Amino acid sequence: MRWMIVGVLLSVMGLYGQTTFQEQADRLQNINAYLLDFRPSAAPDVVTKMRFEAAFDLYPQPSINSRIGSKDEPLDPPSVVPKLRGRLLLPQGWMFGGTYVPGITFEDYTADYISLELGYRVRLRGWDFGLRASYAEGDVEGPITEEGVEDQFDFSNNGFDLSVGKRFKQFKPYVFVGRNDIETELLIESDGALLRNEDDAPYAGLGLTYYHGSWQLNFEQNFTDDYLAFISVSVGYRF
Amino acid sequence: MYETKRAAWTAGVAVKTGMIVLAILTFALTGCSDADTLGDEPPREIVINGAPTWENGIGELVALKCGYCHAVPRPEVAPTNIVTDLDLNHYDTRLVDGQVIRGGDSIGRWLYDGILDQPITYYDDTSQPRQMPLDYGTPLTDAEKAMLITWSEAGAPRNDTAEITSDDLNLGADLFFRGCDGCHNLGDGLALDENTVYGPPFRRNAVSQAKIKSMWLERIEPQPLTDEQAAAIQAFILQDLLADTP
Repeated sequence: MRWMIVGVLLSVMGLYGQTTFQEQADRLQNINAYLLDFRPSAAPDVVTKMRFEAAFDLYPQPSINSRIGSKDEPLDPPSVVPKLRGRLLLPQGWMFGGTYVPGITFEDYTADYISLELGYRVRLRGWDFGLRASYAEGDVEGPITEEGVEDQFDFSNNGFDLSVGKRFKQFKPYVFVGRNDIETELLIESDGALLRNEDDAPYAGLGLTYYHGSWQLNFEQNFTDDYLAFISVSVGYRF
Repeated sequence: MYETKRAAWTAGVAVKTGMIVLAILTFALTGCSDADTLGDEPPREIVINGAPTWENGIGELVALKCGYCHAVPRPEVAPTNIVTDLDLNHYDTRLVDGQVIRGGDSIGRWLYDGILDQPITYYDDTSQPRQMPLDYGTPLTDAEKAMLITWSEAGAPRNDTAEITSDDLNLGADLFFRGCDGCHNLGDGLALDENTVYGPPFRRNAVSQAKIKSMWLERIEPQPLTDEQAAAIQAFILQDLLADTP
């Protein structure tokens, strides 16, 4: 049932049939880039005075079948990706946000990541509407295609989305739809092959923000095209 | 009064906590996490009806499953140590900017030698045995392998058009001893050992004019043979060297 709804939301492209290694590699690169995308992770909100919001986002990762051709890529990414996010909310409706992960090493992987967002929110008859643009880029180095090597995966994502939410006491459910453009490169160390890919995909989602004083708790379900679904959980505090 | 307020506050906290727990449970039960990487999909298959020729299916098959790497200039997706003189998006071995670039007409022997099933070497170069396609390439299906072998055994033809004929055995012999015999040794082949083969023995069905022209350009001299010259060499090989070979 979920996928039927998502299909309507995202215009399912059709069932996939036989495939090639290029399509498999492209899809893996797309999924890894979209999983690192900078999605809303909070209901659109209009504030009456300037607020700064700090949040800790957790992205549980879906299981990935990493077979390309006859070869299983030894991908063993972390089961959860954390991000620290900051947002500045202005009473005029503007919102600025970002995350930054400086070259951290986790297990055998090293990752650099930065993302920025700019949004505008407006309240109409009790409904909060948001328009948001986001940018994310980063790279991951580690044994992506083979044990013991240092492959390099680079990505950059541009996206924009529209969201709407309405507050019911301490709860604010919201939905959003958007579109994303990505560019990825995978450099395979062992043989020097370089896989470049560009892709664009619609995304959509729904979420629920719970407010408790200055604290807020957020759950969000994300769908990207018809082949990727993931959730995020956030805890935030407003100063 | 204080007790009443405290009880109300406690009840409120309990309700809120209950709602949060309910929300978490609802989300956990209905939250969707899935990534379709196409890792479960079978490889694309080229279906060939009738006798396989380059123009009837083999060209499309080889371009799809080999030509993405074996192209000139080397595509980014190809390994850096790939052979640089093989372009499987074309049938003819040809000269490009003075360099001989082998085409689909040159791979029949590789298929016959079993490169689809085991690592083999590039004749006198034993440094890099390879089985094709590589593990991460698009696999060949059993039906596609069978078609490639059938095509190889038929001399890796371009199409089903009959080749021109020649009865000029003297010209054929002259050219053969000038260019071919050094490695093919009267058609019996020449090998240092089983891994170092300078020239394999001839297979009657595989002695095509396209293969002769391809080998001449690749190994003998960078001056293409004419159709008549290739036909003469073929006639000499089939009617003289392999006259007693079924």
